[in-house]
Amino acid sequence: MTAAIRAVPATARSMAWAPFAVASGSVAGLVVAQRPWDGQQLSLGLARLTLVLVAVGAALALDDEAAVTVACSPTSLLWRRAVRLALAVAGAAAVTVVALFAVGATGSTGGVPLDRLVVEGAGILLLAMALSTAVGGDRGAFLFAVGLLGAVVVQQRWPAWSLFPMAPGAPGWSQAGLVWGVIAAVSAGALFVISRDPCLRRRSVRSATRTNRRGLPTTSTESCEWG
Amino acid sequence: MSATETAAVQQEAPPTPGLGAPTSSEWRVARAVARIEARHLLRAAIVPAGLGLLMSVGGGDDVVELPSASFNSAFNLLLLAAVTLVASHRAVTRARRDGSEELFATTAAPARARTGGHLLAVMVPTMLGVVVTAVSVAALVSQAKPVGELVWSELAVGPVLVAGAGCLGVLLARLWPQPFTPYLACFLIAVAELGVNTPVFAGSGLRWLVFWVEGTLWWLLPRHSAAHLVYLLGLVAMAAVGAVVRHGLTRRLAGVGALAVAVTVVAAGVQMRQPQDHWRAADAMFAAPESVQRCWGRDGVRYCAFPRFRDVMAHVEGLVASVRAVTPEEAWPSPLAVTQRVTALDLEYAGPAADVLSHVVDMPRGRVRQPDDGELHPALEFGWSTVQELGLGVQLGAKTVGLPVVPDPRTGEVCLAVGQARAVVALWLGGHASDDAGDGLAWLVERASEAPAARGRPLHDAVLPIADVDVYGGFVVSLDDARLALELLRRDSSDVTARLAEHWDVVSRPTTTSAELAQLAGVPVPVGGAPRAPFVAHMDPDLVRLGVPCR
Repeated sequence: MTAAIRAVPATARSMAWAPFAVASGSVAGLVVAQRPWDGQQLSLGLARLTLVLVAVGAALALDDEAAVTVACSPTSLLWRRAVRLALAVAGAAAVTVVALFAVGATGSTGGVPLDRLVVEGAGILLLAMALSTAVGGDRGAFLFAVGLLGAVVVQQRWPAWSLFPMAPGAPGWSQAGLVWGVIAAVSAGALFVISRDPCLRRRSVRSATRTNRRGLPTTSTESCEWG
Repeated sequence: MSATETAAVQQEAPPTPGLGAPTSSEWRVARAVARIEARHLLRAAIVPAGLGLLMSVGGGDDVVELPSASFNSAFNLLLLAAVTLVASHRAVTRARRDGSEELFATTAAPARARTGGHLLAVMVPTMLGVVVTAVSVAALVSQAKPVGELVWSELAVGPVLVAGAGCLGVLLARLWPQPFTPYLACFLIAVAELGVNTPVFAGSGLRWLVFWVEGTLWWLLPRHSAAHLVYLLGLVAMAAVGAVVRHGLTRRLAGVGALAVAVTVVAAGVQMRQPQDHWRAADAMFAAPESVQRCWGRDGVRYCAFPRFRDVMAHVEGLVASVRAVTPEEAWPSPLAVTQRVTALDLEYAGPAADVLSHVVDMPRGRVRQPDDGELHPALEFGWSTVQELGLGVQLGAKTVGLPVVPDPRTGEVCLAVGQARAVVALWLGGHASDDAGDGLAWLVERASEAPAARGRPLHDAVLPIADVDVYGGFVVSLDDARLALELLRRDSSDVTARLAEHWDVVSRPTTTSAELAQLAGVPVPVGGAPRAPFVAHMDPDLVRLGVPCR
């Protein structure tokens, strides 16, 4: 635990915060451009777009190029990833809270349902992070962005199948909120499972003992000596 | 690259690659890089291209307006374009991610040749875009009832966008190799697209400067399609030249770049010019429609249409005939006239832009209301609203049973026909207008049942106008009445038709209740009773205002 706490400043320094900063700047720019203080209604489509951008920024911030090098450090993989995830989630949450506070303070949310948007945002963020943790930040961000954009495009033709209803109150709006809640929960669970230290996983004898082409046993790269 | 090619390239590699005209070895490197990278891009593009194909062949609209569909064809390729942008950027920056960038300096693959290879590789997703567009055209022409003509220069926009996105990805990778750059570029483009496809820009020439624009208002806001295509091609050339120029400026590149800039600027200027002639013609459509319409008669019905929208009326004739087939001959309204008008549906995306479009005389400052002249007035654009076909059928049904065909033109009020048998009959007749009309009614009922506005008020009090963007019929029914109409639509049509014909005098009377109609038709009687404090749960209050009970 102490080692994990000590790892926080170092992990924060090693993370790629630039994408996150640019995404946050875009959120601010978008809110300012829509001039909510003049009574202009905020666009739900643009709000969702910025959520996706923040999620991509968070996914890229999770990219851990040194993961292999430090795989056998005394701090377990779960803690290392937990610190990285916590920092990214804290950053995204800070951006979201500030944006929501700014929008709420102007009192002109228009048709944008902020509570639903938070659920959707949590689902989007956790999905991006789970993908990023599973396949790497850069590739995860790519898969996430393509998948989500694909869903948005398909929505135009088949709205009934969509996770993104056209407007609050449209058919499918209630179900979509539920779906995003499920996505958030499943992604959080996936993040936990992916981040578990390989040493703590149950491994069958078959998978633990690997052989090369000559039939000789090989050593796993995930060493458990620091357990 | 094969070993022979590598050896040949190493022999001919210039000592200072990237300067001067490209050598034959650079071309060879570029081709070899293109072959490899094309495979990577193809792998990334398969899924978005597949989605584009699904979008092209899916749907199943009864009527497809080819000019509008030509404008919108590029939409199916937007995902492919976005993926190509990101994938191109990732391909160029792969060496940077792998930490092998410096190693390339020791090989016979100069950066300029590699950039050229990446640019050539973009041809593969572009060709995929061409295939998707071709399938889309085939689907449009073969699946649905096509109206109007294809606009080929608009159809070319999609593949050109894919090419441009790929070139932009390469350019951005050479300028800003950070991994977030392509996502930010996609975001900014999406913001521009979302921003410009709003009514605010409906009458502005600036609207055409973004890559893809919705084609809904093609008849009122035509684009100089050829100029837009040239403009896009100019942008593509600028991106490609810009990417190569990063490795050194040559005279030839400078010339091509200057030409691309000039062509782009001229084409942008041409497409931003306002189409005054077109707007004068639109003026006449608003001010004196009868002066420009052509009329004809068929089966005792008089049809009038604007020349450019004549084909749409063939579909309308089919809708009228379908309703007539289930209406008792003695009840059929005669004479009947069906005359095209510019409706609220046609102006959905231009309504708030009326101030911008003030040059069009009689352009409505609010919602367009249909005249109460006893005629039916179908819209210019037909086939994309969920309830448009149902709506026309319901108007015909309303005329048949003696209910108002349109809301009060002065006040916009609709009368309350809740619990009236004739209103259910009008819905039932409207549900026969087309194969999808019944689904339109089911969609409306579902929408009203889920409406958040109903929270805190009994859903039993919610009433249903037949309305989407426009209001069809001058009356509203209760949700129970609408469900009864749906139940009748589910029953055997010939049986219900025979029963209604037998009791037509009764069911078309204003005093007959929907419960009595249910008994006559042999379906379960609604038990809810009439709403006590009727309200419209799911519609904009400006769209529908409730009036007095229908007489």
